[in-house]
Amino acid sequence: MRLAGLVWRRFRKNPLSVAGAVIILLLICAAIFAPYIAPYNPTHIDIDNILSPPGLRHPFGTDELGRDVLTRILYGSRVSLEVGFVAMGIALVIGVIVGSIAGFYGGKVDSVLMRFVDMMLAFPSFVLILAVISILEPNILTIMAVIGITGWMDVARLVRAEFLSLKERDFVLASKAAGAPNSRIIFKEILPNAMSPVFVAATFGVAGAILIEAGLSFLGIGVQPPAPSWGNILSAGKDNIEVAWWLSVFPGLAILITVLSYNLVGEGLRDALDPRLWQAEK
Amino acid sequence: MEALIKAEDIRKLYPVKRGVFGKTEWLKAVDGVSISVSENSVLGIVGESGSGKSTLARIIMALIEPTSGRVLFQGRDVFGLNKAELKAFRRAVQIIFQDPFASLNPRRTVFDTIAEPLKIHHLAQNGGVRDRAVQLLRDVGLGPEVLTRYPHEFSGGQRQRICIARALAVSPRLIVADEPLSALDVSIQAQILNILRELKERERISYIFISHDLRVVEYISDEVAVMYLGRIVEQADAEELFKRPLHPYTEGLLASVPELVPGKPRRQAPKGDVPSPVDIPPGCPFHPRCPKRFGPCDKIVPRFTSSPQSDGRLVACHLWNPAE
Repeated sequence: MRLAGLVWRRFRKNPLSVAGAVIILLLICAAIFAPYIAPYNPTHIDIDNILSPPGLRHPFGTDELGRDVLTRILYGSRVSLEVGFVAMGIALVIGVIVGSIAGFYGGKVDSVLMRFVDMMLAFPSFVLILAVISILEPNILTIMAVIGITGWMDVARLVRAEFLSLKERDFVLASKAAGAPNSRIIFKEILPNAMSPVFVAATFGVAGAILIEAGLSFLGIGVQPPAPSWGNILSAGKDNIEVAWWLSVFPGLAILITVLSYNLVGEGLRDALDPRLWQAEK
Repeated sequence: MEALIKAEDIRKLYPVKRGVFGKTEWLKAVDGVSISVSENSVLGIVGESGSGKSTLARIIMALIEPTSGRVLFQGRDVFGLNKAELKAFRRAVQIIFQDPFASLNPRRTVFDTIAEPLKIHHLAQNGGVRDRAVQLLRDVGLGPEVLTRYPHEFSGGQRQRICIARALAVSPRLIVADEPLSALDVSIQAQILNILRELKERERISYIFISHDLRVVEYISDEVAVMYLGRIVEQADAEELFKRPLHPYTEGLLASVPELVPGKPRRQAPKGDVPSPVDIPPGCPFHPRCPKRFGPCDKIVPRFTSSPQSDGRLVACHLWNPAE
């Protein structure tokens, strides 16, 4: 499709974003093929090699139970990706629905929905997540759901703002003048044009969700050991930071590089998806 | 002659808030305008920017609701139509916008755009949609190869042709053309204008033709209404109006058109800017800029009516309709 080609051509001009995209692709491959590329079993305990430093046998060293850190980071990337995408997916669905309704219908509907958004935003979301997780059983599903349900407000605001400006635009009016029903106007005219900033926000949102999950696991209320996640490896690293720096540095780097990559891709997408810039392209 | 569409005493006010605690003032975009268009005729509406022309166009299209007043289509108020009646209205009345860059959805192909009205109104069977789209494009001078392209691949003139094709898709009786030329190069303007005029002759389409360009309005219109600050200040047969403008504002507008006849005395163009439609001057809204103002102008609002002095022509000016 020609539009996709155009977006790709613009995206390609930003080398940092391309680097970010490549890293994300590698991470996705790593997550999918973790069982094949990981040198050890992630939960295999090796009493003889507790806290051994990075070396030939264990490139990233081992943890306090002798488990291979590289293996655990590779498996941990599965958790991060799942949480990042699913949580953002949930946030996208809720945010797009709420934002579209508020922006399209305006008036009282808009006021009520947006006050609800303000209410949700006024809540410190991390505390809210902590509270919910402490009631529910902490497993990856509840974490994804809770992060998604507390993270849709920015998307809703963005979508609403896009709707407010797009619904007055001439091409939307032309569609209305042609007799298009509201459903057609919303789904065919407005929503496709409202989605670019949402995709950009979603990319940043994935990074945010990964950070939150790492934070929760670090605090011990995320993914429960022995299942590996970047956050709980870091948590173990904290206890041994004086004797085993590698337990903190490698998962930390993994989080840093991943979040940075998503953010770089987000930046690139923002420029590539702007139709005003397509015009200049010609 | 039976009017195709009629607007009665249309008013549209927008609230304007000055500061957080300031009192709400009202921007009078359209302030008591009545017009009517009959079958196969062109009503030109002229005025500077901010005169309320575009707002009026959108109200006539039933795209925004007026604060008061009615728009009658075949004798029925368009804001009280049920779903099926509204659909019939949408088939009969179409709009072309000023900015062809903003009036096409950037993410949809030309085919999507032109086929939309055909699909909504079931005007062609599945196989016939493409044929009809090709035919519509031919009517506006574009080839079938443009169907799969996106708006950003076209120039302004080409886009405006696409917009006209979309408007024509439903075979409308009336097209509201809101400054359809002003975003285009002069050489392109003539082409688009000729397409519109040709359609008038061939398809017997009526137009409400909104423009600030008097030469264009003179060329295409049968009747002309001059708007200033949301009101019509003069309305007449196009030929009469251009030959002998009555209202000083109309005179001023005519004077601002570059004259091609050397040695012809130039009339005085209106000085200064249009006042804000939030603070419309008292009395005649044009009096601060009017070279002919006298006694009653800053106190009494002139009625828009005809009188023996104006030879029965409609004008809102104390020179022609002395206040009692």
